Amino acid sequence: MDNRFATAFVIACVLSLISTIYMAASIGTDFWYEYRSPVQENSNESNKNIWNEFDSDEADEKTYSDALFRFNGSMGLWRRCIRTPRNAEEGDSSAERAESSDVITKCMSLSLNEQFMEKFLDPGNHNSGIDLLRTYLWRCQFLLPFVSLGLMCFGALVGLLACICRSLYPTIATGILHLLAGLCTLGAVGCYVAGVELLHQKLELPENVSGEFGWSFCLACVSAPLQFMASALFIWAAHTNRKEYTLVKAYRVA
Amino acid sequence: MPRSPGTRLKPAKYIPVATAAALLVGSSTLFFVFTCPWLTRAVSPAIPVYNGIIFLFVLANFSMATFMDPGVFPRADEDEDKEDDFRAPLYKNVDVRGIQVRMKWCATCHFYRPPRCSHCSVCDNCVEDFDHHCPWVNNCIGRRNYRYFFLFLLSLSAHMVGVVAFGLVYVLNHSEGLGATHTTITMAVMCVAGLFFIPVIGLTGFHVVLVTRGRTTNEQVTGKFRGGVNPFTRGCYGNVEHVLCSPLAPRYVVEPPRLPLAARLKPPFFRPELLERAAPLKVKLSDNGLKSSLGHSKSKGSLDRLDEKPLDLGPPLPPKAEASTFISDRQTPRPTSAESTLSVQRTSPPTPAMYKFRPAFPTAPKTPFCGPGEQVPDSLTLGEDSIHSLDFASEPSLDLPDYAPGGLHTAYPPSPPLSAADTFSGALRSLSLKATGRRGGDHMALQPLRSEGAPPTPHRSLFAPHALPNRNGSLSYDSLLNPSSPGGHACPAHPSASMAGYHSPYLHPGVLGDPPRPPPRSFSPVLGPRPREPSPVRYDNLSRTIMASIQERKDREERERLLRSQADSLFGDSGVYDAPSSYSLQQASVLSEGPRGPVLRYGSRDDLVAGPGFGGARNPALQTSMSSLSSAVSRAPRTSSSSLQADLANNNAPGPRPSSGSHRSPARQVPPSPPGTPRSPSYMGPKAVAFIHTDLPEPPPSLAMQRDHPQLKTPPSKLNGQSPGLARLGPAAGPPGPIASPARHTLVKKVSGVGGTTYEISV
Repeated sequence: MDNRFATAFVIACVLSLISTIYMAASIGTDFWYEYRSPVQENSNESNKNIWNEFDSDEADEKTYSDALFRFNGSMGLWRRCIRTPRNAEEGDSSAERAESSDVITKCMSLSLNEQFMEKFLDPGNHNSGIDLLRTYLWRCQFLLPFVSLGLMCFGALVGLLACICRSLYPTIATGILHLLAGLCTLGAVGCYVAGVELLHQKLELPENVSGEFGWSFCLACVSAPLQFMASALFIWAAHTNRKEYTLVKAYRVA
Repeated sequence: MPRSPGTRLKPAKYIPVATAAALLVGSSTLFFVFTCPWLTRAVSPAIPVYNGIIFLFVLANFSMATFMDPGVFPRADEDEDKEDDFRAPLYKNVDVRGIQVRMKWCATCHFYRPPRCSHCSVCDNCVEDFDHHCPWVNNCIGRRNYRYFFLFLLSLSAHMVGVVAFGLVYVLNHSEGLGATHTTITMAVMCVAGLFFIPVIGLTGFHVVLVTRGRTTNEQVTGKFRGGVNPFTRGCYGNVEHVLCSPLAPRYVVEPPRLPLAARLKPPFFRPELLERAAPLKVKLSDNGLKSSLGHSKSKGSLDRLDEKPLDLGPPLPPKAEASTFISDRQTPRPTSAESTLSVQRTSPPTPAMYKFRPAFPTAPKTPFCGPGEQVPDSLTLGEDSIHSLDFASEPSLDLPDYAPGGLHTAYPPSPPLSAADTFSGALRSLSLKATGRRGGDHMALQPLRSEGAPPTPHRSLFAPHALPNRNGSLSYDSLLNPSSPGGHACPAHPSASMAGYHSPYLHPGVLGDPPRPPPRSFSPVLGPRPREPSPVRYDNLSRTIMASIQERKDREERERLLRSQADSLFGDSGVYDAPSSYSLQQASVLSEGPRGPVLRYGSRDDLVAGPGFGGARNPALQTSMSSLSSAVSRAPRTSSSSLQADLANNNAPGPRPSSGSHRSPARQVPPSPPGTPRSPSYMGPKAVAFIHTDLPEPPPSLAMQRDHPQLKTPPSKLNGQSPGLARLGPAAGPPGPIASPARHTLVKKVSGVGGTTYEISV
């Protein structure tokens, strides 16, 4: 009888560990959303301007969004990257074009100020009103993954203390914390999807450009059910173990 | 488990299951994240759906195999184990479809294992249709979870095939970009899946063969049916159907013990209450024994009492035989009465008090002379109730009619009437001596006040008869209140009683005294038959108390509860002196005829009176106690505050009293019953007449009382104190002797009843 509770506890720990790793990986990488762009003309002057303005501090949402659309951009929670073949930067040299086929990547990290900056109804127009929905969606999608990760770490700490105290009953708290972490992860994923859809409504994608969710987003989606499974196992092990202990106590009293 | 997980949790035991879970979940999720997106776009969206469904199936079967009870047989109970374990042969053969199958004795579980059942050393349990203990799920695979284990293997094999195949497709299509993240992770997942693919496929194939043959791994490995025929096979299709489609086997371990646990939870809460109520009753009997033994020791000095000793020893023998007959009767109780007792005991714990009271009604009118003796048999039955608690209701009804004739039969032949009278007088003298000595010591301060009151003017002497009964009433009141009432309630009542007696001469209650005189005169013709009855009843009381003392002595040897015995001694006080207190209460009721009006006004106090009244087991006692309490309450406002405070301090000094009161509280819940009213006039009549006769010889008893108090202060004076008793017999020998003797006996009982409480407190 005791063996099964211990087994449930062990499996719950394994699932919690896997989901923690996935959550950390999804936060640390920047492949939440990817754009696939056709090959651009090297001689195009406007493309060079877009490329150069991408990493400038004065770029607004419309400017860097155009860059993402044209140069295979990818967005993360706190960083965005664009990449293009090396030939585009070299200019008109036809000889070097045939030799090098390397991809150049340029990334720009978002500062905390930019993370919590207001979004405008018209992405390019500063004078238009503030879009509260997109602003808060953006903030939530940034904060919730960290909250989820924190809750899981705290739950792990509680579980560790429970093992030190040689009692499985406190793992109910661990289970509840993992349940909350799972809800936070689902919330983050939902906010991200909504934010991207609203952005695409404001700034329509150019022709021949397609966007899709990346593997970081998939990792976040997968870690949520793992957290729910771990939560269920923790609560089951603690609750059933507690119930049997109560029965044993009653039996001794009798 | 929660207290000592360290000793039971072996980390090595859980490594396989942790590894299995990690690889299963980790590899599958990575495959879904890094490989399926491209497959969805390039090949078909059905691929992730197919793999997802199989993965969920794998997880479900893995969980069922891990957390399900495999079919554990519970171990044999101690009762089953005692006989079989010593004379059990190691093997026992049984026929299964005409084939001899051997059943082995399991030394750990203490039973013969059924066929195909084996003991798992890891789980330390016998499992039905034991297949093997799987470390990857950390559980035994038995009859109940073998199906899920088998399906887990099948679905896992399918899942691994899918992952490896689709991973290979992905890698081949991205051979030019092997350095990319997706390709690298996909190759890692393929390596893991491929590494475990061969063992899993092999295990799956092995179990497919076993299922088709209808065998278990344990039987296959041990070569059980190597040479013979397997009696458990049902044919290929039948075997597969049995594994996959048969109904789930029942669980043996958890359900049966839970039900008795729920039932057993109730008894622990009922038993201590019954014990607490039974203990004071037993101690009452033990107190009777103590006092009787002390009386005998004191009587050694006199020749008459030496002669009385053999008479006292004689009566207890026949009652023992009667007790044995009662036990035989109880073994065959009436079914209706037994059921009623069981139901009542479960529903209402205070049933013992109710059952004491109920049988008294029908038996009392049949044998009126047994009335005063009812208390003793009740206490005996209560003592025996502890042994046979289930037969509580039937005992009093059976005991009362049987005791009466037996007691009478044994009382008359061994001793002539004169010797009987001597025995009663001797016992009463000893009790009165103890009581007066203790009473004097406790009330040192009050004696000078009373002595000052004694030599007043002849005007006050005219009211002296009122003073005496008032004092007796207060004494009886104290005896009632001290043991039974809680500390808080006793404080205001006790001082009011004692002070009321003291203040009565100053208040000149002559006007109150006049009304009760004419009613007792109307009862004068009742005197004729009454004096004959009391003598045999009192003798019965003594014999029964002796028998009870013997039984209680045995109980003492069995149980050594020092703390409870101290508390129970207080209970014993009330129990022992219920009889004399009731007599004094009956006489006090005559005086209280005047304040009957205030009785109605103090209805709330009557509820308090009900408790000790029921303890006495007499309805007239109830009414008399109610009247006495009401009279005391009416007199309470007349007392001074300083005296009240002093009495409060005295009452607070004995700590154990409130505890005894709390124990008594459930009895008070029983309300007084109306059938008691018709008996009161018959009992009150003779008492009132006796009181009138006692008024005539006023000066001699007052003088005797004055002399007794100072002489009893010292131990040698006790011997001198006996001479005043003889002096009391002098007036009894006169022409009003037969009428006056019972009256004086009642007076003596009053004093002894009060003193008894103080005596027990000192002990």
